[in-house]
Amino acid sequence: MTPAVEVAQLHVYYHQRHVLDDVSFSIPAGNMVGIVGPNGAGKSTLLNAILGLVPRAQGDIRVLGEAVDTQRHLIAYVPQRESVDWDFPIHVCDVVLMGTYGQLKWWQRPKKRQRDQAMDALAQVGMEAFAERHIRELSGGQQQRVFLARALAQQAQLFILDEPFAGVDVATQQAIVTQLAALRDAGRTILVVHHDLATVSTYFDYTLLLDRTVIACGATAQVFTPEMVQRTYRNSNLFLFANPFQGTQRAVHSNGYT
Amino acid sequence: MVDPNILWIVSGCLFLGICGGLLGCFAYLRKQSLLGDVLSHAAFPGVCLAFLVTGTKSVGAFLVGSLACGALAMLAMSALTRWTRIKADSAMAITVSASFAMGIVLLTQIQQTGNPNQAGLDRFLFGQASALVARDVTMMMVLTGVVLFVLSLCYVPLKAMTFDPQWAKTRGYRIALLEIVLIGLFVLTIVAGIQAVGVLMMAALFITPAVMARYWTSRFGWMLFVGAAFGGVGGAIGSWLSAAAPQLPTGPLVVIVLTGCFVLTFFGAPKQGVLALSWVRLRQRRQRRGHTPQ
Repeated sequence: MTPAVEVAQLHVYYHQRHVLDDVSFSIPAGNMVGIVGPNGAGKSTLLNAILGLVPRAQGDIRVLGEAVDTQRHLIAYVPQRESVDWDFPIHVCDVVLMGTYGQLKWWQRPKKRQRDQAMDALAQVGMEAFAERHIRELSGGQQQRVFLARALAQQAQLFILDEPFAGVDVATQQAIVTQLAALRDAGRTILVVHHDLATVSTYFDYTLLLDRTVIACGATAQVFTPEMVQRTYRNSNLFLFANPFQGTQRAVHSNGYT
Repeated sequence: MVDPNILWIVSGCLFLGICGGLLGCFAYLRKQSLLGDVLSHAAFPGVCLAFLVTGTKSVGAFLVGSLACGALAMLAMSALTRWTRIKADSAMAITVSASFAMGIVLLTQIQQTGNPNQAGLDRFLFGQASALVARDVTMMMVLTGVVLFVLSLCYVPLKAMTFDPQWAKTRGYRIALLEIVLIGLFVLTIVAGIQAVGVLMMAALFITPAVMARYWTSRFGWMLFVGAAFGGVGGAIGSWLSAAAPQLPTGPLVVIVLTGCFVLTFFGAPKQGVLALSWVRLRQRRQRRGHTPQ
């Protein structure tokens, strides 16, 4: 079976810094993948390279067997919450409608069909009652669900989420995870940048440990081991308060970042 | 009866204001409120250069000159912010004043050449709608018509880019190209308005309607509509006033009308206006007083 994502010998430079150094991995379709690593490990850069937002110095990225540049329409992206302008004059339904823009020629306007798809996507995340609200009036978790709905409306095969659980309460995390698991069960592949080591095993069936290069990549049960995590965080003064493989404790960096 | 000539001029300025209001919304939401300022000041030496080269007041040459100088100003600004520690606001200040200085020097130069065609070139500073002849107004209509047509074609990609440029890029929209289109539309509008409103006052025609529109609505499409309406009202009333009193330059009158609208909006807009906000606050205070703490 063709892998959903295949990255080979990827090198990326950012401001003359060698951020990704010889990154190679392959992810089978139908998996929910956690991308885990310390600050500055290049997690977001890896996503941006797949999305075509940063140029790659060298290397090859394939999505569902084809070069990534020809597969952009199959990739849906949920950006970090901080990157959105929450004062922008836009209502929830219009945000989700943007997910359908890919079906339109650039001079076309969305029609009833696209509007229905957007409302469907909104209903899937349980937010249809908020369709006519301004995005500012939502809680953090609701905002995250709206942007997930936009990705759903895109009807993609590969979903890429940059820290969707940052600053979101546990109940909403659960709701989002359930939604993503349903997508996975429908054969879609989901890449998630994730910070909370305590929840990796429960959320993801596949894990990519990254520290500028791939430390390990495979089924979470095999890859997410204490030794491997130690190796991933070996350069970043990570204190493991307690064993993250048992309790709900979090890994804390020396700078207090959890 | 109203003089049909004045009616013609006023409708030209109406369309100019509509274009200004629409484009201003994009610039404002992209946090580039001063884009219109930079481009209109850059257009000033551009127009003067075009006149020096061709010796006539031809719209085509003005367009080329303004586009060239506008592009140069944008390049200078991005070079300054990218390769030095100068921040965007300082880079804009430098570009705007340098463009204006060059424009003034060139204009003075032109006025001393004794070319009979140069009469009226000084009106390009503040605008004089009453001096427009039918051909000028036709040109305004054509230019603003092109702007409206392109905007209506590119509405969806421009909206996506304005809301979230990173995401729009992942969706395959060519952001660099769209930015060039937007700058091109700004320059078209500036050249259309240069005789009627003048380079100095064009900036307000872009930004004031957009700021007002944001007060009245929280939806993108409506914001464009309201911005266009305010721009059109400002352009039409301002030019009509100046046509009625020809000793007054049009540009400042347009800006004064727009500023008046802004003051009304600032106090009177629903939900976000000062009056509405203080009404809400007053009600909350009453409610709190009504409640006894548990």
